Amino acid sequence: MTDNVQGSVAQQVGRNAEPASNSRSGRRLRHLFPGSDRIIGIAGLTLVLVAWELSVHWLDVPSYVLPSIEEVARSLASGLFVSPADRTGYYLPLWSTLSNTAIGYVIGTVLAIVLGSLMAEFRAVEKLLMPYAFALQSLPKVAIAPLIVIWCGFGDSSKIAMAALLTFFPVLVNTFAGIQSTESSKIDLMASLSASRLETYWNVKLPSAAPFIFAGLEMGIVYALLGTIVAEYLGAQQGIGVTIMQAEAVTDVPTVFAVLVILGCVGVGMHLAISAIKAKVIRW
Amino acid sequence: MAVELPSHTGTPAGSAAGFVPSSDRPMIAISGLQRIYRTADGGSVTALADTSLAVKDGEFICIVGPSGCDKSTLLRLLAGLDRPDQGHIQLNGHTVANPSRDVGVVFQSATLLPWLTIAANVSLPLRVGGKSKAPSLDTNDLLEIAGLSGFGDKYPSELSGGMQQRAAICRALIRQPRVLLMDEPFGALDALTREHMNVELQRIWLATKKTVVLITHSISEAVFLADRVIVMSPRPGRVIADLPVQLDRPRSFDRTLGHPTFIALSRQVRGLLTGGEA
Repeated sequence: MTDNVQGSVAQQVGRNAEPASNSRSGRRLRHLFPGSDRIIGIAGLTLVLVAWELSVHWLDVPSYVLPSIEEVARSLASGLFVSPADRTGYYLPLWSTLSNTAIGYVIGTVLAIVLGSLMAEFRAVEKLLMPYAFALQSLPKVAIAPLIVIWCGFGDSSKIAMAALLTFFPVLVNTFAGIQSTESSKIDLMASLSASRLETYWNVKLPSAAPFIFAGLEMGIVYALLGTIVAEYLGAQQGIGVTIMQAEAVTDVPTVFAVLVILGCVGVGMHLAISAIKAKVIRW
Repeated sequence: MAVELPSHTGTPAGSAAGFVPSSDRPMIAISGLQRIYRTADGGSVTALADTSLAVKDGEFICIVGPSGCDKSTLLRLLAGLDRPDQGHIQLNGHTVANPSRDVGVVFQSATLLPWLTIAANVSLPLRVGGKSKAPSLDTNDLLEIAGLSGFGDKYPSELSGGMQQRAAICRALIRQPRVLLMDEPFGALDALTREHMNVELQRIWLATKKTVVLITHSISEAVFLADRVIVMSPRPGRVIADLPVQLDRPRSFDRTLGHPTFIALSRQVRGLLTGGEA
């Protein structure tokens, strides 16, 4: 009955009725499956896990190529369900990696925001630094990492330096773009109030740039973790990168997978943490 | 409320103004103002050509003109945000070179900072531009005058467009400037809100007695609010008429809109705007 009515209306108004009926069916779908986004996510993960498990069992893939889910889970449990101080657990290396990542991230962020601001405020600084910023970003980080290890040693400082280096660029570029995109009407307002350059920067430009800066920070945190682990690969006494290398050396593929799963989760967690801070800071 | 026509075109700027008794000295004196913009292709556009105008202390003037006649250019020059190529602007006897504490500006959009509360937005002028001993108004008093009491803790996005613009007017008034410059402040509002804001602005003006220069392209807004309506020509902008509005205050839309003087003046302004130079 309703369909008939709809049909006649559609005939009357012609093309205009089509998008309306489309959105109607879309709404009906969402009404039937509330939280369909989450269902899609869970379904995707399940599909991957099932395909993984089936291929291991039926195709007889050896454990050193692709371990079964059960083996990976056992490795995870053996490293996670231990005392945090246990030398065989994942907590000590994870702590080392994460603390280096955090320190490098903060250093890289502060440097990037300061230099990005100076570049946006002073044309001379932009002309001076921008080419080097892009040149630095174009270099393969894997090629720079050995140099940094040579300069900073096998200790924490080389990990911190790599984390800072990889955080730097996305935050720098976003800070620069954010400050440059400040609405001119807001700058006029500050000028009409005889505000100094610093007052305008602090009260208007930096807050205006905040959404951009946070976009950089969300990218930067993942890069920082990456930088730390790459530096650990080239030589370190501790860290999750060392754990992976040791497992690889004895072809303990389940442990490699377990650590990769943890790193994936840590990456998502750090990203969510930054997003949460962003939501707290940017409420407008 | 009769107002003498300005004849300051030839007045020498600078020291000569000091000899004029302050009561007769205009609050704003513009003489022979010219502003030329360079275009990207090397040409030049004359935005303002030989504009002269005098505004008395406590006077409310509205500048109307067709769009693209660079009314905003004139306001930016008055605010000290831009420099003229020729001519002078004097504010209370001093040549305008930079933004001054004696001037409050209300822009086309409310330009509130979205990360500050309304109260923090209104008091922003007290926190920037250097410390001053000059007395300032109390934020809460101002919000009350503007009918915004109770909204100080809200953020701009929680307020309607009209309320945001009223907050912007509060911000322009907090340093107690002598002159209030308004650049199409109600252009973005719907017609009913706009009428309401005109009445509100008149009320605030009667309560504070500032010198107001308001730029608009609404003829009824100009005639309703102004002591004098200044009509400008299309580019290059020049003053083509200076019309005193002899209507009693406070004016209300109910009474004023049907008043013969209002109707006659509105018709005259419309004729000037549509017929070019009259």
